[in-house]
Amino acid sequence: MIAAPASTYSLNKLEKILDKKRQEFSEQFDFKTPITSSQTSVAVPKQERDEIFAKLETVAATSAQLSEKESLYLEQQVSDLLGFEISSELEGKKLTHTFGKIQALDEFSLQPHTTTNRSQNVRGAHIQKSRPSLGWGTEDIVPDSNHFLLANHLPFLQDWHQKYAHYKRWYKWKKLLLINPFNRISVVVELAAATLPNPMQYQFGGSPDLIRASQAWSPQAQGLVCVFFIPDAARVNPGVHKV
Amino acid sequence: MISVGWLTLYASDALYASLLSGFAEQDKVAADKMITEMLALTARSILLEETEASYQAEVAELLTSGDDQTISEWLKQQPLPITDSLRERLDRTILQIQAELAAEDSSAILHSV
Repeated sequence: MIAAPASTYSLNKLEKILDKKRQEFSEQFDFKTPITSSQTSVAVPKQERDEIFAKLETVAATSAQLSEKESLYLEQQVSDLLGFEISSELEGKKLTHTFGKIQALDEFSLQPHTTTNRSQNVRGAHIQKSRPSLGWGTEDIVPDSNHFLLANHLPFLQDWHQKYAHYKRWYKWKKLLLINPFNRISVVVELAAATLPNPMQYQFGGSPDLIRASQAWSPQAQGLVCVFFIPDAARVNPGVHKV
Repeated sequence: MISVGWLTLYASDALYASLLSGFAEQDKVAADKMITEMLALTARSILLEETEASYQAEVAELLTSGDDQTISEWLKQQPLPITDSLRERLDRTILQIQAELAAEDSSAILHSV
């Protein structure tokens, strides 16, 4: 460490160092400092963002079936908006739905090894007698301890009965992006269960943490969400993001 | 004490206090402001270097928003190597500023680290 001298440092010299640092920063990055809050969102203009969200809202609310072309175009738009790739299909595999309604599930239907302490701290966590589908949640270690867990009713996949062993391995803990387009919130989630208690009414199920963090049941969203695969999940920051 | 909340999580208070103690009492307020700005610029550079180009403007906007809580939460989500590097480089920046100031002052006595 450098000890402070007996005499005092010069404020003028400090100012020169600061100017130099400002200049270096400006040269390194195109945008100047400070960036004001009015300069929002670089890549996608506000109007286009609004249009993308409006489209997501409409599709989520109506469960409209998009053609492959429309779907790809929408995914591309959302990818541009987020800054990383998302898709409704990965390695030829899909979820049963990309758009749908999410059911709030209790903690134990997704993660039965959760400790009693945790369940007491989580609103909506209840102990359930039955095990979760396929016993995924009986594993001791959750890959990412963020507790944003999702369920999708995979037996609805066309060839589930022929390939369920393979599918079970492939879908297990797959990283997905859940978007609540109404409140413009995205959450990186993990697929923790392959069945839903109420698959005819709901397309997805979510852990209490996920339901709260995504505001999926806000008055605007009413449970309607979009879920996409994240092909390059390692590069995406986990957690909740305001889009 | 560093006045910007999220910077206090990563910059060493002891080094900062040591640097600030080198200024005359009447200059301390102005020096504090300038040093804090320099540390914020350094932190911003490090974090932007680690950010993909398409995200940089958004991250820059966040870091200049003044919203301490959001920035701190965002930083906590960053991988450990990035926050470790941030800590190390902020400390190094304080030492560099101190070294540059001391170099001008012939009476400054430099002690090796």
